[in-house]
This record gives sequence, structure tokens and C-alpha cells, in this order.
Amino acid sequence: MSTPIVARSARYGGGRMLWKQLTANRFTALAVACVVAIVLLALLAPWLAPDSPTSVHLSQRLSPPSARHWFGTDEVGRDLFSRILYGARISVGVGLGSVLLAALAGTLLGAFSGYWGRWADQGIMRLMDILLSFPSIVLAMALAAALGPNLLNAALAIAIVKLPVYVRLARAEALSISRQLFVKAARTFGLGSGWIVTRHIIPNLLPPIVVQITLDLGDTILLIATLGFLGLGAQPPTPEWGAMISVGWKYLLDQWWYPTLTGAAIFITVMSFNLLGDGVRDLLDPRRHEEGGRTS
Amino acid sequence: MTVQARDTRAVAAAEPILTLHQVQKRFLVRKRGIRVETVAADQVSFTVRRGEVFGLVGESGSGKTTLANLVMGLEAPDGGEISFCGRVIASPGRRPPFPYGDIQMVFQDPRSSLNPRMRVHQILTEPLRAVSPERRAQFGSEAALVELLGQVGLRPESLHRFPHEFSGGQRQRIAIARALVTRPKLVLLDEPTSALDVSVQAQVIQLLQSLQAEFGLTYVFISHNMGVVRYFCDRVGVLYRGRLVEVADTDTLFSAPSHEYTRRLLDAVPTWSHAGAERLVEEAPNGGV
Repeated sequence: MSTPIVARSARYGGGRMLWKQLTANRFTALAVACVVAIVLLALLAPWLAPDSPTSVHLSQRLSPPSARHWFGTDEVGRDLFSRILYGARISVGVGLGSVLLAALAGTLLGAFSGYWGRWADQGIMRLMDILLSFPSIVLAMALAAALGPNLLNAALAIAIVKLPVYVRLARAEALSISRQLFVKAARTFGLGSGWIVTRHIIPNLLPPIVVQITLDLGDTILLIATLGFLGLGAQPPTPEWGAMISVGWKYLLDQWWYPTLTGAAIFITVMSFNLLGDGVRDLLDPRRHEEGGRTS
Repeated sequence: MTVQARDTRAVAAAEPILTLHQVQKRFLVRKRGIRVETVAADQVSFTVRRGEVFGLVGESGSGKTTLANLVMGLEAPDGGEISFCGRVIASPGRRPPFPYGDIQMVFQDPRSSLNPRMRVHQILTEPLRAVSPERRAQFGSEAALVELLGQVGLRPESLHRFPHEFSGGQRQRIAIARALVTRPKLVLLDEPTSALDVSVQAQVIQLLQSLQAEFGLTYVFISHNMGVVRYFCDRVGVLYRGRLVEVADTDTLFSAPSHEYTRRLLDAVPTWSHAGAERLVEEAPNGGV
């Protein structure tokens, strides 16, 4: 029971080792390269973009890809390449933000739930069961609509949708960690549950949470785009990919590059994050790499 | 060091430090959907005197762990009371204030009792969080911790390492240092050697003996290893299905056990002779950590 934690913590120590193992798989290496590229493009968007993402040039509306407009322009003449670059900031930034929010709240709730047990545990877990009983897209839409359609509320709605996964994961880990003697020892010292959960339980349940975060990133970026497409997320003229496609799909037949290139941006981003998530999971999942506890 | 050198007579006159008076603890367990009541502690009464090593023996499930939990304040008794240094620390219903820092415990498996994510420094200072600021300042300084590490046979640089960098015996030394950091009066030892190699077991027992003298400690030693109990304890209480069936001086218990269960318990461990335990301790390499 104690070996996985020790083995995991030992593996976590070597950053270089982790990097080497992560890039050993060809797909994961590709995903790492893509994710790094996407994050760089998003961060450097203001310097890389040839034009402002919101400046309107009606004379050049719906022009095809050219040397001046690499990805063409949209229905009011905005440079599509610039809009997609700025869109990466929103998708990656808001995606990461809502996943981290869900992970933070979920880890705390789950860890206390697992440690306290009894009625607190029952209450929290039944609440999570209710959240889980809705299809995630339906719940996200309902929450976003109820909160009011804007980007921040969409992020909040997604965080709530993602919450139960983290609560369940953290609770399951907290249950097994609570049985370890170091938790009992801390209780004999007279320390409160706040200290025990934050200092003993949460640090030991972080590895699977990190895996879950990387697995969720792709899905979350897709959800943000979906809400944007349905008009429940970012509102025009914000250069958000989903919102852009919701306008652009009407031009699919005559100006195919407009929705297609925007869709390709979503596709590549989500796929890269998913592959990265799979790679990280393969690496850190103790069930795949069972090794004896190290004693040195 | 010989067994004969330990003077148990001086202890006999000493004042009581821990008293259990008719302590009762029941658990409701579900067996195939039916609620069954298990009595983990049934009218248990005994007194531990200052400066002695009191052994608690019994097979697994006899209520040893429950008694330890009750004394450590992790559970409240259903009946009776427990007093420490003349003050009631556990009684049914209302929870009296617990003297955190004055009673500490060393656990069976040091692989599980030390948080793998904490450095030794954090592990050692943790118990000080529940004691008075003066005590914390006095015993929590780097110099005091290094001295304590030296007293349990570990190097000063151990302070900044993680538990997984140590061997099983060394980890148990860290756990012992952690128990002593608040300078407790009473230490519960819950099978502190049973998870260790046999050669290391003897070293840990020797260490516990020298620390007892150095810190003026009283031990409650929970074990099912009759050889170690005979070597280490001054008096022994025998637990059987939650009841304390016999309490006697170690010599009396081993030479003339009065209860039927004690006799069976002693017959079950023929290989661990008294002389064997002694020989093992003498053969252990000194100074090896």
C-alpha cells in the first residue's frame, strides 16, 4: 500500500528523466512540440499577428488566402490569421484556467470528503453524483445560459462541469492515504484536519490529479469552442474559435478557408493536448509502471 | 548489557503515570449485513508506573491497537476512564483536554508512518505545532534537532533528506526522534521492531533502552514477540479478546504464568529463548546505523 506513493515521489524528483521518458513515444513527442508551439504562438500573438484581430476592412471582405492575408479575411475584412492567433490565447488561457479552477476546488473538496468521511462525505459525493448525471455539454450549456453568455461565465460553467471528476479522484486517493500511518501519527500529535488534509493528504494525491488535468485540457478547449459556437461563450467580435466558426460556417461552400482553417486550429490544438495527456498518463499512472519501493 | 543489570525493583515503588480504570470500548461491525457488537476493550484496568517498561501482549485482534488509540486520544472510551499524571484524559461523553506532546507514539511500520513528501526537518518539527510556543522554540531550533538526531544515531545532514533515502532501521530512528521531539513523559511503542530486519531489531531495542535513561521515559511496549517482551519489559499485561487476563512482573509471568491463555501464548513461541534474545543483542554490530 505504501510503495506506489514512495515510487511515485521518487520518479517525480527527476525532471530530466521525466522529459526523456515523455519524448520517448513519437506521438507524445509530436504532441509536446505542437503544444509548445501553440502556447508560444498564443503568447507572442501581439508580435506575430500581421494585423489587429478586430480591425475592420470592408473593402477586403472574404478575400482568399494571399501573401498579405495568409488565411484570407472574414466577412468584414478582418485578417483571419491574426484572429486565429489571438483565438489561441483565449482557448489555451481560458481552457487552462477553468481546468485549474476545477482541479483546485475538486482536490480540496475530495480530499476533505475522503478524510472526514461520514455525513460530509455523503453530502459532497451525492452532490457530485447529481452533477455527473447530466451530459457534460448539456450541463455546460444550461449553466452558461443561466449565468449569462460571456467568456468568463463559460469558463466557470466548464469548471463546474469538470468538478466531479476531480472530487471523485481526490476522494478515492484521500481514502487510501488516510489509512497510512503518517496520518494517524499526525492525529496523535493533536493536529487539526485542515493541517492534515493540506500537508499530508493533498501532497500525496497530486500525481493522478496532474494526469487528469492534462487529460482534460483538450476536452475543455473543445467545450469552450462549443459554447462559443452556440453563442453561450465568447461574444463577437472576440476572436474566439467557436464563435468564429458559428459565423463562418455559412461561407463553407464559397469561402471554404474561413471555417476550415478555424476548425483546423481547434482540431490541431485539441488533438495535441489529448496526445500530451495520454503520454503523461502512460508515464505517471502507477498501474502501468509498477516498481518496487526504493531503499537507498 | 545484561538482563540482570536492569533493576526492576526500584520501579515497583514509583508513582503511577498512566492509569486505566475499567476502560470499555465496543464496536459495531457488519457481518453479512447483520450488526455484530465486538468488545475491543472489556473492563481493562492497569497502572503504568513512572520509569518502567510496561508490556502489552496478545494475539492480533486482542485489542492492543484499540487500547493504544484510547490512550492517544484518537478514540473515546464507552466506559471507565484513563488518567495521565493524575489528570483524567479520557472518559465517555465529554472529551477532557488532552496533554498533547506529553504522550507520544512510535508506530509499527516506518515506511508508512513518515510522510514521503516531507523532509526530516518537517517531520521532526510537526509534533511541536501542538505544544506551547516556549517548548516549540526550545526544542524546534536547528541545533536542538541536530542534537536529537545525534541521540538516535543519525547524522546532522539527515535533516534535509526525504524518508525514502533511508533504510528501514534509520526510518524507525527518525520516527523515534519525532516522538521524542516534544520531550514526552510517556511513549507508546506499537510493535516498533516487527517491520524491521532481525539484526536491526536488536539495535532499535538497545537505542530505546538508552533513550529511556537519557530522557527519563516511561514506555508502554505493545508486541506479540514474547522474546523481545521478556528482554525489554519490566511488567507485562496479557490481553485476550479485549480483556486483560493477567498482569505480572516479567520474570513471574514467564516462570509461573497464572492464566491459561498466557501459558498457551508462551508455548506458541518456543524458539525465542531468553538467552537467545540476549545473544542477539550482544551480536549486533555497534554503531552501525
